[in-house]
Amino acid sequence: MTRRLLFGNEAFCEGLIAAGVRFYAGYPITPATEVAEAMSRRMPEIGGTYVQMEDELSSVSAIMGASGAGVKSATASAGPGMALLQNELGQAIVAEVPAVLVNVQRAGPGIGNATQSGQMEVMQARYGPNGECPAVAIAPSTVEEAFWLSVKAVNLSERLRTVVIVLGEGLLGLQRAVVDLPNYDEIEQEERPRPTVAPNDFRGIYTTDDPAGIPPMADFGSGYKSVINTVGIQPIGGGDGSVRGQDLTDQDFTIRRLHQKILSRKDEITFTDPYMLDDAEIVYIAFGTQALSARVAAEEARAAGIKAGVLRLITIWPFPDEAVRAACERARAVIVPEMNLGQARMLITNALAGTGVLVEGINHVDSTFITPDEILAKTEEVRTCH
Amino acid sequence: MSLIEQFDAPRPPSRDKKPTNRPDPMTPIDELADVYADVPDKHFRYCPGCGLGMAQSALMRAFHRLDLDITQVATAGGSGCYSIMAHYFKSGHVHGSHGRGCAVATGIKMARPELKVLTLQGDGDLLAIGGNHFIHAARRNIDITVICFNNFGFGDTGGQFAPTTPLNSVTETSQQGMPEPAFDACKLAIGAGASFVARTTVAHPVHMTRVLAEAIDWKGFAFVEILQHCHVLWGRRNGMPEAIDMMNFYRDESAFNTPQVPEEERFGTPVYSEDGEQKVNFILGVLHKEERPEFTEEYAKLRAKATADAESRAGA
Amino acid sequence: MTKRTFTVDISEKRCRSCAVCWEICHTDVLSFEPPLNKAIVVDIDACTGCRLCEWLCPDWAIIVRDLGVAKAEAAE
Repeated sequence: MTRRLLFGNEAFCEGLIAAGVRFYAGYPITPATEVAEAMSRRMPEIGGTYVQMEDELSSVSAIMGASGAGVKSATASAGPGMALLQNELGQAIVAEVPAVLVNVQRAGPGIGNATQSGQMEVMQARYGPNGECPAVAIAPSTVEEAFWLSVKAVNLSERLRTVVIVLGEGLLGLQRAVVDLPNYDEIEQEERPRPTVAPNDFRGIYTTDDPAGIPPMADFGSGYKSVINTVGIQPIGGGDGSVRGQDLTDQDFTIRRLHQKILSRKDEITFTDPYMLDDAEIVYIAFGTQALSARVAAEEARAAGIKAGVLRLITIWPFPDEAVRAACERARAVIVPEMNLGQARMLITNALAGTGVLVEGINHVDSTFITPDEILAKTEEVRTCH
Repeated sequence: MSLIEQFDAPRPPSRDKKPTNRPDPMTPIDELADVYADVPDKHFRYCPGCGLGMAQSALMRAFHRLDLDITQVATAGGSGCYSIMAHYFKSGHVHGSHGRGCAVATGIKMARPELKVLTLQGDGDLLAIGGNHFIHAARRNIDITVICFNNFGFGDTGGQFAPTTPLNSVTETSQQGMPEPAFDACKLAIGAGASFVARTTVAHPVHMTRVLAEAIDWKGFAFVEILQHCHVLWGRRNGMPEAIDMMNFYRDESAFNTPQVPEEERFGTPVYSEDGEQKVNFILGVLHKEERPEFTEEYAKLRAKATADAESRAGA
Repeated sequence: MTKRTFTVDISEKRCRSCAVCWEICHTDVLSFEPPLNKAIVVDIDACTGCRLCEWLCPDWAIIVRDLGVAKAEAAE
């Protein structure tokens, strides 16, 4: 155990390293730059590689190559950089290349306010790339959690053969806190499934006819022919789609399998932090840094006799509909404090459709923290008007 | 199905070959295909007569000439007519997004420097959308071989012009004649820091094989521009509708980079126009060769020092 | 006189009539057969084994094999 004073961005870096990341390709962008700076220092120290690429597109492309070569890889970006790399992100997801992408969210849209924070890429994390692209995204609320969720992100990316997004925020990335770092040798590291058949019998890294299957992936240079194919549409049961051709049945199967391989495992990848929900009539549903205010507000509400509770969302995608419904079983109203115009609120409203639960939001787009007082004021408003 | 199974003729018994430590350049293509290629049961996905098929043969012969272990080769490229070529080899491949081949290759090579890493990219992919990554991979002098199949345009989307399309030529997006001048990819590569630069054409198969082998063997960033005809799109619209027409064009309009070529012409501006009539002038050969520190080796030194410093800090 | 001899095998299935091989052959070993105009061997004795046809065929539809000098001598 080592006690360190770390920036959130450094905590992301250490978590990725602890989980076995040994390749980082990145590009400077506020407020994610420190992840690259920390990686540039740490990667060569531990036998890894840091490459500063010429933009975000090449960063994601480089980690696609490195991961294909069998090395766990990651990159980080923010705001305009995240918008730029959506193409390569979607391609890496459809090509089923394990990797981690840290989004240190900042105020947008456009160039926005680089040094100010936000929570504005909730929907982008799921709907950013073109086509029906699945997503796994997890959001830390503290610097310590930034470390542990980065570990989890790497492991999930290997288990599911996908790109996992860590939804950070500028407020978190540039916040310093004391973290007790574990001994990295004790961290469990998961590995992508690798083929066991003879190389001549190997039909490619998309070989499966299981509608929720995760096919084995071979490293370059391991004796198997591995073709990482961002075309994505692959024949059912294996073979090279680009050579054999694919039909519309293959297309349907591929797209659905990409989603099912994640959704069928939703139980093992849905992480939430419920607090005082057993009898909660007012539920605060929040994520990231704003969940801290929600927790304080709930405690103060309880002290004032209001049955408040908090559902902190850690997994954002696939969106934990069931957890939301379970948390609101006795709820009359839900308040969603977020630093955007209501992205999580939209998803929560959808999850609670037909239940009669009122869903209200507190929406800051001025990059200021939503305070417990504001949440309490909103609680009062909700209770008196409804 | 192997290549020989698609022929009616049986394979004759092996003849006694003279013992040699060099791969036999006269090895028949089916024997090469058994070792290096994954031949589909049906045609290659190129148009009949396409220069890509010829370049593919040369690449396979270059692998053979270097006696490469194909399982230790990894390639990267985007989508286009050329993109299927990598699938026809037994090497590992990343069929990535358009233009990012050099970036993907950088990632593969930095992660596993012992692999032989190539990019197989079209002219539009490499020089339009991929131009930036090309420049920086060359600047780093990372040990990859970038092969550009230059067919004067974006073939797979129907023949629109690209940064290498000769001025005034007719394409799908320049029916009145291409209004933009082309640039010389080889000059660009040299300017960006490439340590090995060469140009060849599919009408020069012996030269093409040799240059590819030399480039793949080169330690550092090696760039090979292969002028490879698209007679179906560019050729047909510019008076050269058959494969042989364009191959004659390459033969007639190119010259080898010998001392007789004046210094200022040595790089070969690929296009100029006189009186509205297009004339092109390709200079072939190894245009630049200069040993420079190679990136993965330099980074390994950096890594060794960083590791040693960290260990001594920990020990202190 | 010793002369090396060669076989030139053409796969009718793979040939797609691009005409490069019979145009490029400098000793007129090859021609084409209507109506599909696939490549055929018309004068194998003229073959010098240069392999340009095999090396340039974009469909890998031609295989040239060197039968060696001994076979030619045996034939005499």
